[in-house]
Amino acid sequence: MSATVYTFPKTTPNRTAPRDKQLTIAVAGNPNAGKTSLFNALTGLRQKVANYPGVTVERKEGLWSLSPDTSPARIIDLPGLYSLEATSLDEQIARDVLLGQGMMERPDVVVVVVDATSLVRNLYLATQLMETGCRMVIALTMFDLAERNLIEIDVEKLSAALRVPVVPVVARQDRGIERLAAAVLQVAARTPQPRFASAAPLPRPWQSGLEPVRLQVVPITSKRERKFDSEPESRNSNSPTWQAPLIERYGWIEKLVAETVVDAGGKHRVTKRIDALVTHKVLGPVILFLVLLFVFQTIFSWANLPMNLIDSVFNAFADLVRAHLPAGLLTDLIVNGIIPGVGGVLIFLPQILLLFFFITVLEDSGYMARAAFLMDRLMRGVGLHGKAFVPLLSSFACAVPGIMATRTIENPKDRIATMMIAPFMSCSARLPVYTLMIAAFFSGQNVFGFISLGALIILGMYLLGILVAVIVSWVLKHTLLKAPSPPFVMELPPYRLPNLSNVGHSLLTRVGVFLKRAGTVILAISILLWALVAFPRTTSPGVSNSAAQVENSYAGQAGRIIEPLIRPLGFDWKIGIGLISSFAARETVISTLSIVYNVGEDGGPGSNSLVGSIHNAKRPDGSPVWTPLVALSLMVFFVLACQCMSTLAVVRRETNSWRWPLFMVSYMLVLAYVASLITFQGGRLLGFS
Amino acid sequence: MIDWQTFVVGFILLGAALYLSWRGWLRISSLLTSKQSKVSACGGCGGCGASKSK
Repeated sequence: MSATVYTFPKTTPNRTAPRDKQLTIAVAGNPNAGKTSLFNALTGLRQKVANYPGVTVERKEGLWSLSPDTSPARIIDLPGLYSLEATSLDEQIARDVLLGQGMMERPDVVVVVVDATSLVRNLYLATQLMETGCRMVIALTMFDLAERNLIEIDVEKLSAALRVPVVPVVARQDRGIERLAAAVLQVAARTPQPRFASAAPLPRPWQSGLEPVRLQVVPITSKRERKFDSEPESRNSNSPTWQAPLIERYGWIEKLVAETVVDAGGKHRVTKRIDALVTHKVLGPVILFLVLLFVFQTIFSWANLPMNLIDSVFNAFADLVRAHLPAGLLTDLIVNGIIPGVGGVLIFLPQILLLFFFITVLEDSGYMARAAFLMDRLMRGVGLHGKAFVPLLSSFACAVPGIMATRTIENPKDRIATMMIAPFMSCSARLPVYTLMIAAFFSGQNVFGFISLGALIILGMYLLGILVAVIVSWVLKHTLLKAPSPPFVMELPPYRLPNLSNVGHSLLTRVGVFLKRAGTVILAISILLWALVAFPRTTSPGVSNSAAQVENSYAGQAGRIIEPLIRPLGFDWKIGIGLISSFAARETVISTLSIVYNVGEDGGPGSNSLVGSIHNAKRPDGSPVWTPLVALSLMVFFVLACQCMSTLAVVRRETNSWRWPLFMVSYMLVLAYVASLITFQGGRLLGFS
Repeated sequence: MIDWQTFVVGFILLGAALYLSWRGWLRISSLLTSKQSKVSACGGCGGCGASKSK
């Protein structure tokens, strides 16, 4: 068997005549086939891309300039689907768009994204779409990866066999894009394609195999969630009704691929070798633990220098304001409110950037999917669906996209169970709290002489969140959300070198978001918090940071009301104010502590660090407010409490009910309180301080 | 006595209070509006990757 090696043409192919109507083009394909990378390359947008399936759960739209003569086409990036027999919410969204069901018309052209390294699986959906009679073009993505793996695809033969234009593309390098545009324009000018006109007809048409299954798919409404008890387990059954056409179709595709592809190198040899190590029963978890430990250790050691730099910039700015503005309320607001409030949070930017650098690199390389594979056994052990891993992984960045990513889970009970535990994953807003506590009480201490105690504690906090999530999901899946979990087949993507532009874009986005948040919400909260600490005035302007002023302020009065409730956790009323303000945004606890602990009172270089203020804080009896045990208790509280309005809002939207967000905030708060209480009181009983 | 600093601080406090009230109202109204709300529940954390045009 021979195959021709494809070369990307350097000249722009001829295009068809301009059209008056704006074209609507849908980008469809299997999960992790490279749809979003292609969509980004075509539109210039920067939707999130990662090397694991299930990143896109909503349809995304953009404009694609197909040629200078035509108006830009409307292009829709759809969630991935393996076939038109959709069961999960995201698959249904994609199928409805492709078949023109629901709110929108059928697209003029469908660009079916087919992963060149995995043709057999990817062509399954393509053949189904061909049968629907839609105008389509196949974009053969990851062509460079196929070449590297010595997979030679006879593109022309494949195109001739399917009677559909097949265009190899490498989205990251913009290769093949012009040719794809030309193919789309040519196809758009044709009359709709005849129903499956391949050279070798399929043994059994798609519709006859699909119908029995499709009838059982409940439409996307809130009612779906109430129907889970009566939803048939058709997908798990061994019913030959839907299996037979599937097997026959795969047989047909395998024959076609055997005729058009030469796999000279053996598929993904490097990937297989690495997988033998990282997915090993014993070595796999050990490697995962070491990778995570390395990440946190590095975050700590690398971030120190830029953090000190940011700190000194803010200190210098405070000195400058003091030197040039006369004493008064405005000076007080800037020096004791805005600078410690905003600066106290901004100082953690380097750590957050490093965290996201590692997350993006691990995602892009394909290792995160292996971590999912390792965690799957644990998750299935507590009744969670294997697909829950991606939402939970996303929640380490932020619970909001994590909860939206639960749309990939078919069973509504599994979906709600995943939503309920997603906020336990330590999001980036918690990192500043952990770091502050560690910097104050555990810095400079090593375990075994080389492992930083701080890195171990942070890793411990992340693992605590995972452990509690596992326990809670077990309880939920055995009580409120009892349902069998369907079997889960997980796709392990090939390893790739992380894309620098993707990593850079991810970090830039993070910087932008962080600065925006610091310059808006955190700034506004800092200003109001300062007012609550500075009024009513008990002393003259400029000395609002005296202990008496803070104690008699509105914030002080409010803090003392809740103090009896939080005293068993080891917290005083000042920490209590921080806890209240953190419900607006978790990081605000840092701003609050900075303001109430009189940061910058003396203006000396050493005295205006928050860590120093925490160390010096005393109770009325002279004992220190903060101890390592109090710090641990506070960290545990932050791991488990749901202090995030955005998370509650998105749960309300996704479940279309108030019941679940209220349940979430209540049970997490109770859990956080109890765990914090056990940490503090248990620690004291054991003799720790 | 109200000096210029007090005056400026008054305006800043008013601005901060109005801004936070507006943000709070957006969030609450997005929760009260059923089905397709115009206001996103997204907190803008960037976890899903923000979009931008070239």
